[in-house]
Formats: sequence, C-alpha cells, structure tokens
Amino acid sequence: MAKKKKILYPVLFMIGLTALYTFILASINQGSLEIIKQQEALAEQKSILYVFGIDAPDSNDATTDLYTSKIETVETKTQSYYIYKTSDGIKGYAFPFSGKGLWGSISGHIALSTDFKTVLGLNFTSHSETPGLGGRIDEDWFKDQFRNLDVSASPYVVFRPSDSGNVDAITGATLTSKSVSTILNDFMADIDTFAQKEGLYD
Amino acid sequence: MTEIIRVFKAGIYKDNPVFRQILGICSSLAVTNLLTNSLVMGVGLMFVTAFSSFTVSLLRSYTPKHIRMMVQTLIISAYVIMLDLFLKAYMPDMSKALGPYVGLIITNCIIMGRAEAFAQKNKPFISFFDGLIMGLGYTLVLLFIAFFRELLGFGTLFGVTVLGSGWVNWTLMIMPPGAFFMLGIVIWATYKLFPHEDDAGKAGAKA
Amino acid sequence: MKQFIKDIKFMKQAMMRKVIYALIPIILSAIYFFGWRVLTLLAVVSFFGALTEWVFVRKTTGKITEAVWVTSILFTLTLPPSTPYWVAIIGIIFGVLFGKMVFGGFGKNPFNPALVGRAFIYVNFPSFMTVEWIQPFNGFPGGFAHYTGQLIDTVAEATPMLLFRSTGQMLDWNQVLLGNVSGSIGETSAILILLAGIYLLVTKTASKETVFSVLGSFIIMSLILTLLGFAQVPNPIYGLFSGGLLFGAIFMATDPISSPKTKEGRVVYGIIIGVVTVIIRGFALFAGGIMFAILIGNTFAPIIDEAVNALKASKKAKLAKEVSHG
Repeated sequence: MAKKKKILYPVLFMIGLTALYTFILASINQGSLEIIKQQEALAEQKSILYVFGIDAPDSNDATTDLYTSKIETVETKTQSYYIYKTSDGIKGYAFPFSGKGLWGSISGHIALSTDFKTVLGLNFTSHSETPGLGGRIDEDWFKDQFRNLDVSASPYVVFRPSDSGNVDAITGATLTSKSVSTILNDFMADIDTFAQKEGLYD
Repeated sequence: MTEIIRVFKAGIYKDNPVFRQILGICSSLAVTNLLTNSLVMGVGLMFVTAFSSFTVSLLRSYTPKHIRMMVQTLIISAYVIMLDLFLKAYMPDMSKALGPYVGLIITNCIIMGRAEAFAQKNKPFISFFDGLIMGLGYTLVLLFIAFFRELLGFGTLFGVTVLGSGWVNWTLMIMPPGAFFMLGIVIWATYKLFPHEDDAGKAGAKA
Repeated sequence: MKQFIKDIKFMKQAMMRKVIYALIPIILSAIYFFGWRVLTLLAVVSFFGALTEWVFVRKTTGKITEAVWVTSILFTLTLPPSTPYWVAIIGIIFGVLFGKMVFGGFGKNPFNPALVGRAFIYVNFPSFMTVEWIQPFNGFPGGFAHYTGQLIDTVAEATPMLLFRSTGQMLDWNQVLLGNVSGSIGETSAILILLAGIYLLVTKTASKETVFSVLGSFIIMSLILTLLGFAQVPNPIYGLFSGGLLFGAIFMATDPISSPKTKEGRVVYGIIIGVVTVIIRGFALFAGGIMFAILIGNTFAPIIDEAVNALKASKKAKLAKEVSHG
C-alpha cells in the first residue's frame, strides 16, 4: 500500500504542477498573441514603406494607417506582392525575396518601378551574416545604393570595381556581397517571368 | 542580515557564476558583442533565476526528492517562456537580436545550479535574493566583456559612438572568438584579483 | 622601459640562429622589392615582441629566448608591406602573449606564435591585410633607394592569390618565381624561399617529413580538384609558387615546438596542412589558406603524436608476444 502511494504522489504532483504552469503560460500567451502579431505586421509594414521610399511616421498607429492607405497586398499562388498606389496611379511593386547568404538565409523586400527597369528600394528583414562585416548589408549606405538603381539589363547587380559595376561591395565581406548579388540577380530573372504572367507590365 | 551580505558577496565575486563557477559560458560568448544585448540578457536571466529559485524553494518541502530535477526544469522553462513572450511582444528588436539565446536560458546551468545548490535548501525569500544576485554577478561580467567588445569592435558604447572616425574596428572582437579571448582575460584577471580561499581543495572548474 | 634595456639577456639557441641566417636573404630581397620601411617595420615588431616576452620572463628566468626574434621576423615577413605600425604591434603582442606566454613560454606553445598574431590581425583588420598592397620596385637600386613603394589599385594588380580568387587570372611564371609581384613582405620570391628551404633541410633545422608532406599533399589535392573541374582551385604548380604556401611550409609548419615530435606524426600533420590549405583557398571565406591550415595542423599535433606512439607501442607488444611465442 505504502509503495503505491509513493508512485502516485509524484505523478499527481507533476501533473498538478504542469497543469498549473500550462494554464498560466497559455493565458499569458493568449494575452500577448495579439501584440506579437501586431509587432510582426508592423515590422513588415515598415520594411515595405521603406523600400518604396515612404518615410514612416514615429507612431505605430500612424504607420499602420499610412500603410493601409497606400499599399495594397496581392496574394497569388506562388507569392504575394505589394502595390504602391497613389492618386495618379500605380507607383511600383514590392516583393519579398530570400536566398542563401554566407552563414544562413538572407531575406528582405525589394521594390521595383512599374516598368521593372528601376529598383525603388531594398531592405533586409533577416540575415545571419557576420556582424561588422557581412552584417553591414543592414546599413543605410549599402541599401541606399539600390535606390533608383537601373536594372534594365542582365546581370542586374554588379559590384564595383568590375567594369559594369553599379554598386559598391562591402570591404572584407566578399562572400556576403557575392551572395547578395546572386540572390538579387536570380530574383530579377524570376520576377520578369512572374510579372509577365501576372500581367503587371503596362 | 549577515546571510544577505554573504549571498551578495558570493554572487558578485566570491562564487561568481561566470568567472568562478564557469557557468553560463555559452550565452556570455554569444550575446556580448553589444552592451544593450548583454544588459537585456542579464536582466532577463536575473528575472528567471530569481523567480525560479523562489518557486523551487516554495515547493521544496512538497516536492518528492527523486523528481525534483523534472520539477525544476518545468519551473525554469515556464519563466523563460514568459520572458520570451514578453520580449517578443514589447521589445521585438531585442528579441530578434538575442535570437535563440533567450530560449536557451532554460539550459543555462546557472539557474539549475542555483535551484539545486541553494533554493532546495533555503527559504523562499533568501532564495529569491540569491537568484537575483547570481543573475547580477552574471550580468556584471557580461557587461564588462561587452564593454570591451563593443568599444573595440564598433567604437561605440550602448550604440553611441565614443571613438572618433579615425578608429578602425576590430572585427574579431565582434565575432565569437573575440568573446573567447575576453572571457579568458576576465577569468585570468579575477583569479589574480580574488584569490580563492581554498583553491587547493576545490581546484578545477565544473561544466 | 629602462629596466627592460638594462635587464635584457638572451638565451642562445643554435637552431634558431640557423633559421635567422636563412631568413637574411629574404629580408634583403624584401627591402629591394618594397623599400626600407620593411626594415623599420621589422625593428618595431622585434622590439615589441621581445618586450612582451620580457614582461613575462623578467621575474623567472630573466632571459628572452632567441625564438622570439624568429617569431618577429617570420611574423613581419607575412605582413603586407604597407601594414601600419600599430596593426603590426597589436599582432606581435597578441601572438607572443596568447600564442606563447600564456601557455608557459618557449617550448610549451601549442601554436606557432607568429601565425597566432597574424591570424588575429588578419581577421581583425581585413582591409589592411588583404586590400592594400604595394607595387614592387624594379631594376637597380630598387627599393634600396626608397622608403616605401606606391600603393596599388587593388583589383587591377592584387597579389597572385587574390587576383586568382577574384578574376581567375594568372600571372607570368618568372614574375611569380622571382618575387617581382605585390604581396606579403617575404612571401613573394619563390626562388629565395626554396634556397633557404634547402639550407634548412641540409642542416636538419627543418624537418623534411613536414616540408615534403605539406607540399606533396598540396600538389595532389590541387591536382585532384583541378581535374574534377573545380574552377576555384588553381593548377598545383601555380598554387605552389604564388601566395604564402612555400613560406608557410618551410618556415611556419616546421616550427619544432608546435609540430608533432614523431616522424610519422609529422607526415600526417603535413598532409592535414596541405589538404586544408587547398580547401580553404578554394572554398572558404578567407584567402589566407596556409596560415589557418597550419594553425589547424598545430591543434592536431599532440593527438597525432599520441596516436603514433600508441600504435608503435601496440606493434611492439605484438612483436614481443610473437617473439615469446616463437
């Protein structure tokens, strides 16, 4: 009898404790779910606004309002994209992209003009490159080089000092720079066919 | 009161979790490239250690001895998940910067070590304090390492540029090996500064 | 500082002397190619190298080993000629401190201190170590009439190894052989390095097992990868004479303290270095293949020795058993 009790008590104790903590965590999770979702959406909205070159206001609500008034999201079977609309028509399209970096995958958003010949802006949302070296793709000077970059002919992105170079690479981070150009060039080639299929060309 | 002072001294230097017990090394190598990251990580760890020590101590007389590790792990993970959710909801940038290391606090030996070595035998209040101070000891070492890594690696402190434009960043200091060297120097220096009273008897680090 | 000058004493080491003799022609040729700055850089590096060692030994033996000169010279010769003084100083202090003194000083270091120092600044300051190079001087009196050479446009005329990595282009053979190319101070002239190597092998200062297994495995590995069609790997002979491979194989890998003690062990060690060099040069983030390869080889040196000795012991035991049975 005594033996049975010894097994029973720990089991009941553990079940009780687990149930208690599961309950606590579940309620915290429920409570914060909405906020986390909002934060994630906000981060994405900021990134989209950034690639279109629209300055995001400081307040989060204002950012969301601005985003919903100007940007329209389109979901297709293969990928989703974003349209920037103003009163005088469509200004451009933004697409998410991702690819292989040096240490892990790099992903972000890129905005293109309506004729798909100019990059409006580029932003990286996640990467795991070496901080201070490849990680500098996050820095404004690097991303700003892509603003209004002419990408009418392949290869679209070429680093200087190569003859046809149009963008500066990151010193000391050859492989990350190379990955970025490969990702973008592959993406540009793909997006051309995608745009034709979707009838995005004027 | 003397108990509080004793716990305080132990946590800060006599029995500091990082340079004396050599615990929590993984995260101190990983997040110390920036002071802000280290601070948030340290405060997070203080929160988890304090509350899990408190809870473990509170339940100590009801917990069957042979399943106590299970119970401790459960308690610790619950607090870590709370911390993770909090960071995700209110400090999304920080949550992204710390990446998997918040979740890995669960496996941080400091917390388990305190729960097992201290909270299991002491009253809730002092256990809470012990957890807090051990966390503080960890935070101080992290901040010390991060101070040099951020200063040499980026020329900044808490993101504010302090070294002029002529400064050349030490790339290695930002990368994980930089933390290895810094941690080695810290352990070396602290062994000189605070000689162990019974070094001969207790030599050798615990993993 | 005064104390340092007054106290300075050296431990005489015949073996280290020989290495220094072998390095003198290379230093002279480096001055010819890159100007007198090479010599001042060498002096500054040697001073700080000796100072670092002295700080540690002043309370014990009080004698600085001559090995620290060899370390300083080797370290300097692997730097680009335009390396700023402060970068070189950080490198040598780090190398002597963390490569040697923290392990207990001369004779106890698991890694080659010159390479530890170089690796540290190589990763820390990539722009000084891999981007800025100097155009070598030509004709008479060459660099003997100049303090330093002209910085060159990196991509147009990078070092042979970096040029190959970025464009796949190869330089002229006699340029590479004579050393008339931009590159690290002492690594450009393949002929002088070879001559020094022969001297060291003849005087038994350098271990022939190490040198030949590094070079041999490098050639075989490059050959295999070239034949398999990896465009990142240059053909073995070009790879051999350009970049720091020869210099590393002859002067760095043969360091008697950080390499294995057994002959068989040295062969295995050399093979590790040769193969890893090819892999790092072809596929890794950094171009400095031989440097990292030797450090990796150093890491394995003690365990290789252990394995060789264990193998020998078991063979002996077997033999003894057979003898006793017979």
